[in-house]
Amino acid sequence: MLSPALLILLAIPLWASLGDTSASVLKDQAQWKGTLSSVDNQTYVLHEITMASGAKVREYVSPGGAVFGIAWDGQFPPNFEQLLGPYYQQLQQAIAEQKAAQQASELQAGTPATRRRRGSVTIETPGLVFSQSGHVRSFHGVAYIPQLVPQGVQASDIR
Amino acid sequence: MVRRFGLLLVLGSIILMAACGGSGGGSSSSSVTSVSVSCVPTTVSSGGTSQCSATVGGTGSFSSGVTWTASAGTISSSGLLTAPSVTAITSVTVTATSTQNTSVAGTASVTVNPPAAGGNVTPLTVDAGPTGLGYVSTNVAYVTVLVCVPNTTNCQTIDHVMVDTGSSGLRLLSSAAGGEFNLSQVPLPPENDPNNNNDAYGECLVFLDGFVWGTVNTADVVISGETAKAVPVQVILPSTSSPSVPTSCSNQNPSGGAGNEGDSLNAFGANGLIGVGLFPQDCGGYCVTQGSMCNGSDNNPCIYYDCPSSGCTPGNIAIAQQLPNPVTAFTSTGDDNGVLIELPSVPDGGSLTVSGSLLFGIGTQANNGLGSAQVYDVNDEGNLTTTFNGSSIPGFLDSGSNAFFFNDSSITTCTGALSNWFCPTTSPDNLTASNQGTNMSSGVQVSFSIENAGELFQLSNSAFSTLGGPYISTPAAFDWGLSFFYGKNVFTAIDGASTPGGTGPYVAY
Repeated sequence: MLSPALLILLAIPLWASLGDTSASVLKDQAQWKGTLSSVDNQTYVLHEITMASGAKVREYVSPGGAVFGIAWDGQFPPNFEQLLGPYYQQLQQAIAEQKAAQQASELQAGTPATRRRRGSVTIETPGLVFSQSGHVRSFHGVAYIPQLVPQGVQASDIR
Repeated sequence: MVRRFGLLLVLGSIILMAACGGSGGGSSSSSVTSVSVSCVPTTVSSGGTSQCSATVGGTGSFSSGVTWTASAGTISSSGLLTAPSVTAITSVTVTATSTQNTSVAGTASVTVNPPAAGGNVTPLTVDAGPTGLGYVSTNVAYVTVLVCVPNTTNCQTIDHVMVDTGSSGLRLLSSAAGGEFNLSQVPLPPENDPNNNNDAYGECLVFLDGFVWGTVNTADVVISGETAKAVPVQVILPSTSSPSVPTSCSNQNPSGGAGNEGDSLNAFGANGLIGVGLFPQDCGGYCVTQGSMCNGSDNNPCIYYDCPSSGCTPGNIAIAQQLPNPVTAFTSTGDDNGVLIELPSVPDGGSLTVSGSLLFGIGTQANNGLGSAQVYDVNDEGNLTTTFNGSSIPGFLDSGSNAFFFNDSSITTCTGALSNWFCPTTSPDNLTASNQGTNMSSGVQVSFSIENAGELFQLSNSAFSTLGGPYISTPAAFDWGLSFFYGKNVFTAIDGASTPGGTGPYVAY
């Protein structure tokens, strides 16, 4: 029989990483059946979760306790819906808009059409920065929330 | 020297024939009764030659002169047959007719064999893309592939199949999605998984900003003179088809449901994709046990799906059931250890189209030797090390990427709809990097240029050697896309395969 506390846990999403509190790191580790190693870098705490597949997710937590950035490496991309939590829809929308603008431009005569980009992805929105590179069997990327990056931390520290 | 000698021979034979005709033709008491013909050899290759000779029989001082005709190809006045170019075994009838009595003639047959099925070279084209594409394709290299129901002649030719050294396996965009491949006309049987109740199975392959979903079917794949017998291929299906896209497939993609590249020809940009990359299968060891790691809630990706009639769920898949790099199946020719991409140089500003070659095998034929190419062994992820602007980062050569993608904040990025591309203020912007394989103690310099994409895209060119775009992450990877391949011979050696340059995986150029 399930305890009432567990029932409540099951009723809410078990994962919510980017933008969530540091407590979500442990939830992620449990949910993803990964091993966790953590390093306190003064300006932020880095939690690295290694999954059974060998894929790695690194979560960057600010002194205020917010996950402000995530980086990943693996043979295939992780499940972004889980990894980005509420920011997943924002990313989807940004990519869809970019593709739509591209297609509209491609069909527009008389101007230099935007051409389809095939390769590393870069999406910059005011509230979310996402980039991913690689090829089949080797993917890596980062996502972060610029507003949550603590003072003294560079975006390039998220790697 | 050779040419003059040939001319003398021809002159000699004309003089001989004239002499024969002169001595016999004028006599009223002579008659020709027979002409017999023989040719050596009696079997030739397409376009080959056979020397025919005639023996004329008769009475009196008859003429032994004959005129030569052939039912196909060409034949000289001295009986040298040049066979036609044929695609199937063809019989050519050679006829010698007496010049003295044109009602007397003899014949012989010469069998012409088709060429040795095209060899190991197939044309590689960078052009505006397949018929029906709603935009100008940019830096995508295409080949034509023949797919057949195994062991039958029920085949379909698929043009504009994109060549990708960044993945493995043949994938065909179904006609249901606007592609060329028609499964109802060429019913490739579904693959069945012997480890899973002989169920049909499907695959979700994730690329950088999109994914493809579809069933795995069996096909004979013919390209140039190479045949991959009864190999698993993917039939890419649109979201509207059955079996439908599992959410665990779409949700692991950054662009989610909007990222299904199998939804239309415009979304995919090709009638198919042939992955001829560094690995013998598309997934490898991870997919053999992924079912226990990928259950839709943990964060491991789901690639293969078990698809009984009740629907598709993530499952394990053995190596033998995975999509192979089709090159690994070119065993009958021995051209199964990798590929060579040969593309000519493209000038600054780009070219409308470019024609090159995709060759199968490395050092297996006279045309695919490494020569002076440097071998760059890659790590188990398929990467070498690129050093650029003082940073050493993973680098990869990927014909399926359509430009140089790298991080350099000093290069101006285009604005507006072109913001995915570089627009350097000084164009061309000449740059250098270096590449180093795991087998090397130091890197080798690469020089390349980036031009203003806004200017490049003014024309309808499809091939660009100077196209680049920003990749903002730091540290980044260096994505050496198709722009890198022009003016080079680029080899991709498959993991574990023996080659004259050592065992794969490696790239060489």
